Amino acid sequence: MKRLVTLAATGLAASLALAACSSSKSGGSSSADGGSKDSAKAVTISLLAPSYGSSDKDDTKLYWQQIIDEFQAKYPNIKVDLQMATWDNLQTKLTTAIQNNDAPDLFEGGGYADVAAQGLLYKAADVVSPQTLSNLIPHVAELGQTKGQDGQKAQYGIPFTTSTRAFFYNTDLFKQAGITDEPKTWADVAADAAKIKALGKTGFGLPLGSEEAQAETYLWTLGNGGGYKDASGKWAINSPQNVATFQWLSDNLVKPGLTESDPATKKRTDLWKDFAAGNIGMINGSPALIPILKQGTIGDNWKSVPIPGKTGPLTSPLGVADFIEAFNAKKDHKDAVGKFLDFALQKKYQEQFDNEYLLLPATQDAATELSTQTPALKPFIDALPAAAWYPSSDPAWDPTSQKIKDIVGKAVTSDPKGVLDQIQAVANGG
Amino acid sequence: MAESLGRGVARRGARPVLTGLAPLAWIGPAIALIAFAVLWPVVKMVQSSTRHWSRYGVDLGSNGTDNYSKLFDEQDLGGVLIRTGIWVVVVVTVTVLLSLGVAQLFNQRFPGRTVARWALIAPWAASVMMTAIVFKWMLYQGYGFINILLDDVGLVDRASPTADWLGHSTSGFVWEMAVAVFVSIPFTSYTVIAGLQTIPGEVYEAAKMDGAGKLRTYFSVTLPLLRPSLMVATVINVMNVFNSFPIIWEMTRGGPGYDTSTTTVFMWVLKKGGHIGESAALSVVNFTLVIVIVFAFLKVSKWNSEAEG
Repeated sequence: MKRLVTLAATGLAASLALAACSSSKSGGSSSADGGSKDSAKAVTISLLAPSYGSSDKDDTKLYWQQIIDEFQAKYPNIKVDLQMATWDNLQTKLTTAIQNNDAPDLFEGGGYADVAAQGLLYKAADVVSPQTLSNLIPHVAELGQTKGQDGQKAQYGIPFTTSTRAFFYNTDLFKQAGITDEPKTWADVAADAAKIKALGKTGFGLPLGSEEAQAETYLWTLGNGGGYKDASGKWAINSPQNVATFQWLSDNLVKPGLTESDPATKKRTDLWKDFAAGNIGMINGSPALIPILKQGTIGDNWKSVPIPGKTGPLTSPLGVADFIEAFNAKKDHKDAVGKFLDFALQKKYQEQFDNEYLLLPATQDAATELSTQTPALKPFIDALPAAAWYPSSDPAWDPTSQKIKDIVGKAVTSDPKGVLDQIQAVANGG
Repeated sequence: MAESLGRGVARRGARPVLTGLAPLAWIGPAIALIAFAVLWPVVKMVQSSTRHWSRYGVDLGSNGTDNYSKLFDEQDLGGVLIRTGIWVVVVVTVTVLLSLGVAQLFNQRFPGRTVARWALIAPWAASVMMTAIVFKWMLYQGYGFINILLDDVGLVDRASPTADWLGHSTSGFVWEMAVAVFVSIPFTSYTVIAGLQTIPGEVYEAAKMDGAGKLRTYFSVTLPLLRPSLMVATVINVMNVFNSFPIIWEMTRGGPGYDTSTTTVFMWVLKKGGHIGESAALSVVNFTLVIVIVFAFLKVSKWNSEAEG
């Protein structure tokens, strides 16, 4: 018995030690806190941002690094510690950092309403200058307003970039398959996908894996008059329209094998690359897909059109806004954070970003100038006010979005109602 | 008399206590270390499972057993528990059986044995996460090495949906178990090899003189004498495999849905979804399960019987 206890205790110690190691590894974001004694005013603020380009390149990192370098030339006392993440693990990285009391000072990319409601964010007006604030495109800025811990509605999310979504298809494959008209309805998509499958390619790319399933879900449910909330502003994720949408996807695209296999496990970036390699006939994408296509074998043999709905193309495009949020954990960083934001949201950096990724700006001066400089972007910029957006000012959106990423893929292989019910329960605070 | 008796009692009473405490000076630091590094985290773990946590780790006060009732209400928990059982039993059993063979082989004298033994360490020395990622790539639909191999042999069309091994829950889970076996074999084999080397040659000579055949010798002499090392190998494997996270996480992220998650992976999924309390409750459940399984296993296999006879 004694041996047994010793053995068990050793094992116990070993497994706990292992657990300790692994947990410290996963939490390992560094907080290089400034304020070193020799230079009294020097601070180091941290910025966590996602990579917008293809994951094997560091171009977004270079974009931020350039801003940081130029910023530091102007403010030598403020250092900026840049951390990049993939979209896939961005939110997890942030959540873990907050749980470990190590939130970055600035975070770009994810939802803000939930953390604002917890009182973890500065109000935008507390950090950035009034000029920066009034320069934000008004209806985009409105999306960044939510109730804080004090119950007052205020600007917490500072829009950084916006984009709209479109439907892309491979014109080469369409020609080979003898398709002449661009797809306008779901039935067209299914019929065209079947013809492309006959060529030995994938008909439609349906990324319902953990990366951005909330976008794909939204695009399809909007096409059937559904969406995340109903007209009265209540969560309606398991609405009959949404259930019917996934039933249709399952019956008409997934079961007949017209998509890639197992959509529930596929990432958007992987499928985009596959589309760029000419292996997929149709896919939903954002302007950020275009630079990837230019590098792929598909070349210029593609076209983007409005997203097909059940009976006709979507009239309002899906708009996606990415916000910057300023965490208030380190009070002595407030000034530095504000200075950096004012600097980074300048017109030239907004334009540089949008020209690089063909995304849309969040500030008015950049929008005006881009509309004349880059005519291709003008229709997208003009369409922004009418766009359908994520319910990102609802604090329940962040956990809901996470749950969608986790399980919505199963809605096309098992019972859609059951899966959507589970997500609805999370949205309702379950 | 009474006085001296009293003094005698006092002296007799005091001395054993003092001498009894003396070893504390030597083992005290070790005890303190165990208390700090082993017991305290356990206490903390149980404590945190009874608190109400915000999504971002702010303690909002006591929560009683709410975390546990929420956890047991999770629709996916049943499947996760069953899968964990299959995961542990299959991986450990296959690992031990294969390792017995591998150890037997590596215990033979053959040219290049040292090199071969070193090579056996490779899967053990490589980071498990790296191994998992490499396997994920080798299983990639269309271009993965394993798929190309299977295609060349004519077993599987590498572009077909079947070749998307990690996309389906069943085939994905089977491959994950295979990788778990792959990384567990080196340690287990080495433990068994060490056990084999402790068996004295005379025993085999005696068996030979008694006319025992090879099989008979293995099952009646080698295997019983290997029991202590097999026990150690099995117990450590059970705990390791039970708590294994990187293989499943890297290969399928526990998906599609949660269909390849074990309790350890599901714990992380819950935490990621902001359910810190539930996650803590699951880690208590997990911890209890490991202890119960290990004790039950040791009891059934009569771990200490070799000491008695």
